[in-house]
Amino acid sequence: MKYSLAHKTSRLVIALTFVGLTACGSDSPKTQELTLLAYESFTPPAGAFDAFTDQTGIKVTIALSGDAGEMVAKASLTAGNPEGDVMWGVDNTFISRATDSEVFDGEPVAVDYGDVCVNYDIAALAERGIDAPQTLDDLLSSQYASMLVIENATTSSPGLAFLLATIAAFGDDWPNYWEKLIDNDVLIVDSWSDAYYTSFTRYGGDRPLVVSYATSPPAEVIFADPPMAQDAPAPTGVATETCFRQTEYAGILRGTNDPAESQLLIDYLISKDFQTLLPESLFVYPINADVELPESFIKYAPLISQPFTLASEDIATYREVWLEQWSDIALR
Amino acid sequence: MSTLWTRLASAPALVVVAVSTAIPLMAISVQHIASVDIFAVWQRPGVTDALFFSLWQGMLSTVLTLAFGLFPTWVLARYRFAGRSILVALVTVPFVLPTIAVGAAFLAVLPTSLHRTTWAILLAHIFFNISVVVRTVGPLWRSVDQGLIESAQTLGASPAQVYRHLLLPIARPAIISAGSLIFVMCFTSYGIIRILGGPGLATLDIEIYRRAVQLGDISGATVLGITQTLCIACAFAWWSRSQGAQFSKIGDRNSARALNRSSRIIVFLTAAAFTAPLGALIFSSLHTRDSWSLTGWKVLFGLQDIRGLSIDLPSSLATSLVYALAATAIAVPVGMAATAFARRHWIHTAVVLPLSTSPVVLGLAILITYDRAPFDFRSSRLLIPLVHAAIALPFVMRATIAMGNVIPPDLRHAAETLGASPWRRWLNIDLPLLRPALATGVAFSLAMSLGEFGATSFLTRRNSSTLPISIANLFSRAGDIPRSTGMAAATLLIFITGLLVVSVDRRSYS
Repeated sequence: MKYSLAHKTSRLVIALTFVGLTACGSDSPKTQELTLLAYESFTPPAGAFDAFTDQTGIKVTIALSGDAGEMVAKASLTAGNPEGDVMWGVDNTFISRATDSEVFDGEPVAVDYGDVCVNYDIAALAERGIDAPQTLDDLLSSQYASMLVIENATTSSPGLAFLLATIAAFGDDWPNYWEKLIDNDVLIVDSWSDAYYTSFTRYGGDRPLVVSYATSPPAEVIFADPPMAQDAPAPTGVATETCFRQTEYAGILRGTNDPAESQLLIDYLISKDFQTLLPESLFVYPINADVELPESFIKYAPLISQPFTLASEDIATYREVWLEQWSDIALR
Repeated sequence: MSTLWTRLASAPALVVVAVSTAIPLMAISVQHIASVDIFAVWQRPGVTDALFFSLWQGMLSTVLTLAFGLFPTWVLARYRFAGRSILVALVTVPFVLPTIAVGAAFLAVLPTSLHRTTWAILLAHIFFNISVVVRTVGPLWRSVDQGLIESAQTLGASPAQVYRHLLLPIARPAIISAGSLIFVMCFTSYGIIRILGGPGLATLDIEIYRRAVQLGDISGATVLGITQTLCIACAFAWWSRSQGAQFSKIGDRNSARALNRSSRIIVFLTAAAFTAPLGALIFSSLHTRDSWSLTGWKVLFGLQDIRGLSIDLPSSLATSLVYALAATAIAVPVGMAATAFARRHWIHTAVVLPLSTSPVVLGLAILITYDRAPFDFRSSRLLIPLVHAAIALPFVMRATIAMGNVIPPDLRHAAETLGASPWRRWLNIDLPLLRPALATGVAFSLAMSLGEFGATSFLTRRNSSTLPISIANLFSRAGDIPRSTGMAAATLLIFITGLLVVSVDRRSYS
């Protein structure tokens, strides 16, 4: 009995020591893994982080966290005790909310940008014998009556961007613009997919104008089925004076255990290696000016020289008021 | 001793509900409701409209689904015909239809004049929820002795009288069960209303999403979320009182008859109504521009590589299946155990909490509740199947209760007199008779989990994507190939669900 008790005790001591050692041990070596929080449609090509792992020995796990708005809502709620180390992809319509809730450790950095613009179906407009619109004012013309489909600004990110373009363009007079736009029988649907794939003429709908992205034409070419002829123009075009610029940011999440390693990851995200991958996987423009744009962008994506912009602080302050005013005009 | 064990039978179900929903909801309420003026939240524009709309369209959808659903339910329960189990699967699969595919599948077959109207919503709700009627009420009608109906007819009862005085009373508890679940599904309807209803219409669930995500008003969203949950729980508690009618005439199992003329028409109409939207979906996966193309399917199965389109189908399919099996493995035993002995109504009300909670509020609540060691489950892989199981739980329990009512009490009494323990009695007498309910529970749990989007997309996931989420990602890209690949993936999701449902039914529903 005595022997057995001593035996058990010694085994217990050994076991506890072992547990204690491994527990201490896990703290001492350098971390080998970082978690990158990103929105749902963050789909860089496979192996996009291999170069980073090779350089630093740090593995990157991507954690997907709903759409951009959901991601910010969650990050604000968990500020200081984050779900990851670095967050990718908060755009300028949300960045103030994130910084106001002290989501980030330090200043977030811009990582990419893109423009939300009215797109048109070239064949469908030709069939109707009308020219493509170029400006916001063009859209009020009676020749575009019942032709435009836009997304609900209260539920959709491009929908909100288009509303912000009109606010930037017309200032306090924007409600007036929207009343005229609604009178011109614009169709409002729930989401981008709904607008583009259900109502846009190119996919069987009856509206030849749709609020989409300036990079939708290159996507139409790359993903065309059957493939397009070598030098054929893109099937859709962009009304270049209707655009709102969206810039996306990445930042170190406050409360991470590995701020130094996280900074290395941020550096990688804006490095030429990584930024080169962005255009043809996320259909955004790289922020790094050293990156050469792919041919599809040069050929098919129009350069938007003077997009509309708004200060992100103003968007944060007035968003609710604007959206309620907009709902009164557009939805009721 | 045995009473203690029978009391504990419903404990796992309560644990699932508590861990997945009740505790997080309490935590978020404590943190975020105390500081806001609840009445001010309700006075904001759109809020009362959303509540009112949720209520009336929820009730109308429920009544219509029951009215239209009882016809195919009767035919599927009482008649024998080739393709019967396929038809049962066909009415079950809309459950998993991803939101954007609803647009493609439904708008394609709906007359343009109905697009973006309340009618489109009501029709879609009937389409989506008819399986709840078929699967909850069907097994009861299936077990009615044909002799009983024939003797009523011999005594001069018209079909209407047979229905009113015999079939309806038998099915009433099941109809109420089905109706209450359909009401919850329609009250909290989200994707269907957003896609089919046009932008002016919003349920409370949509208003909650808008507040939390677009406006960052977490407190407001929490107030509305808690109100919604409580509203539904009260309605449920009230309905549950009418449970428990007993019917003890077990029919012989081979009473199914060959189709006659009227039942043939019902089979045809049901098959047509459910094939058309799915046909439209398959068509869109195979047709781009003006030509037929297999590209979507090739990309889906990795037979063709498209630059810039990185979807990992095998991994998202595997994730979906593993989650679905895990959710089913939790929901079915836990749900059936909870109904084995519990006759307390509050348990049935408690299990509907997860289903009636807004996925956004639930996601946020889980996030702030399980965020510190040793309870840091935020990124646990078990979290999503657990939430799926919690959502499926009321379907398992309702199906079991409805079926349990036809187990003759004298059979149980006999077993008791012979000294069988309650558990033994349940295993040897109840369980074999509950096989149709088991099939329904498994089918619903699988379908619920395979198609679930809201909570899954809201919870943070590491290196894993479910099929519905991959589909949503495909539909967020412009171009022919992302679209046809998305349609192909939606078709595949439906096909897999159908296959699982058929194989489950083969084992025990028939």
